[in-house]
Amino acid sequence: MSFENYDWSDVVPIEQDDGPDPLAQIAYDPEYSKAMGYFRALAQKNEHSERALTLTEKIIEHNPAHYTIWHYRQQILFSLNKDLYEELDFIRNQVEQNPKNYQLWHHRQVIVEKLKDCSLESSFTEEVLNDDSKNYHAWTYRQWVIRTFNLWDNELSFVEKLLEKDIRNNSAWNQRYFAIFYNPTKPSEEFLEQEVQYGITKIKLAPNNISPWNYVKGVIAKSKLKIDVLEELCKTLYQQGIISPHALGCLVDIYEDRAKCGSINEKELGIQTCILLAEQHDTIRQKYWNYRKHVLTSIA
Amino acid sequence: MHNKFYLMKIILSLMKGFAVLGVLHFQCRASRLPFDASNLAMTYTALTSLLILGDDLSRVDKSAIINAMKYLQKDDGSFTQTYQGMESDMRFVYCACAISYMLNDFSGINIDKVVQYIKESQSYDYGIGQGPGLESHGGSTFCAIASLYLLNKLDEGLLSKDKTIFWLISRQESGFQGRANKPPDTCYSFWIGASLMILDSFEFIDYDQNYNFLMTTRSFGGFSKWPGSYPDVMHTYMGVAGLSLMEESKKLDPALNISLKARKNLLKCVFKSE
Repeated sequence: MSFENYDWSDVVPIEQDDGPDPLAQIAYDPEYSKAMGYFRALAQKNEHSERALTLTEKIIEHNPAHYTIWHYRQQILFSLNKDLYEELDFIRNQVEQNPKNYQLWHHRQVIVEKLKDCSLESSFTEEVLNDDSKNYHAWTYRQWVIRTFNLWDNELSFVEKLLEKDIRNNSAWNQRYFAIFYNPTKPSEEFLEQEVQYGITKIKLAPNNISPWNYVKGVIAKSKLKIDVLEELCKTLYQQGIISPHALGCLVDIYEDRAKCGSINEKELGIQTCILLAEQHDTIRQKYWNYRKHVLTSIA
Repeated sequence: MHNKFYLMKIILSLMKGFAVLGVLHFQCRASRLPFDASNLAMTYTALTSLLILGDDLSRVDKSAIINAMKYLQKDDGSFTQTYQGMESDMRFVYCACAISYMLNDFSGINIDKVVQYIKESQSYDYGIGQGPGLESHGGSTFCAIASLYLLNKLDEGLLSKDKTIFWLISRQESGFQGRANKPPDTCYSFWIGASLMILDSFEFIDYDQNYNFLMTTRSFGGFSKWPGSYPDVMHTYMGVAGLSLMEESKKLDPALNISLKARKNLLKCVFKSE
């Protein structure tokens, strides 16, 4: 039944109080104002009923970000013991039009928490990520589901699928890190070394793609390896005429470390690489690379 | 005749808050309505608006705001925006820190837990996400850095200031992107730019490329997020703020995101200094 078809004759709507002389009054849709008038009246008596539930649907239609109404809807759903799987469907129907609505995602979380059933959530988030593979809300929610219900096992293969579609998807790379390092089962050193090799393979596919560079450095930092393991890759790329500012930047870091340990040769190499970056290969960050050159030059 | 004093009156009347049995209520002009509860983001906006209008905050119920804030911090250190318990993330951490700073009273937040939350939200690439495990993002990085600055905990809170600076600088592609491999968007000229300014590293950016990009997102008198889109109020403000950061004579306080003029007002009224 739609909201108009219910009997509202016992309800005295409470108008919004904007004060005696409102400064910048919003021109609400009359249907929205009417619905909100009924809401204020129902909220006064804390009514949980079918008509109240339908009312929340009408208001959400006009104003999907109205968090108070979502909260009220949750209360009604639970007191009336409504079918929460139907509610999950309701949310799924809304998400296509409102994929970045905070309230919608939080509402799903509340329902799933109540149901204690996560069986639909992996495919739900996958569907949303098919439309927009970087939707921050979808990734945030997916991480919540994995942590809460311990769904770690299949995540790496899900990430792999997304990376195959787009090797530059930084959200997928972040999820890879999450799936390995936030997993209660800690990765072995051997596994980490394999991940470094995995990352290097992906770097070679698109050396100007910053995501696997950051990922590999992140994995190295958690392992017993040192950043020097990337030296060969960086130099090989340069020798092959493949210019990647990420490779050159990585060499600057390596050379700087060694310069601090006393290597004069590497201090000079570091300075030269900074000049290459500042003047030719990463000119947008010229001032930064000149600063790094200055830091290297100052090493005693 | 509407004037700024009337606007102040409206904001103040909406801000009266008090904690009753652990639940927050706003006393609106009419009867107290259920579900009406204070909102951290709105409180931040109201306070900054009052400062911009030249108000001295003397009519603001400061203790009510600070006391109410205690109910909004979660165990992990993050904040929800309202007591009805919705999403919690770095945005509201920032609101809580900024409000506390403006009212010169940090008793409403557990600072150690905030610093811990920020530390745990730092990604492997030294940018900062909305929460632990989440992708590093320009908006949340600003919220975290500004919060640490306002708490005077920058050194403690950042795992590597140098590497975070490099993450920020790496976001420039012409204008600034919010995440790696995403297109540049007007508002990140502020979120990333202000973060760099707080870390004393704004001078590293390429001014011309930033400026040229912002010029391409001008639209119908405002700014849109991308070239060729429709403008909106948020991106228009951010475009102006982003440009302002590049001015030789600085006019914007990057941590509170208010003009230096409004900040001076704050110093005079709340901190009782010039």
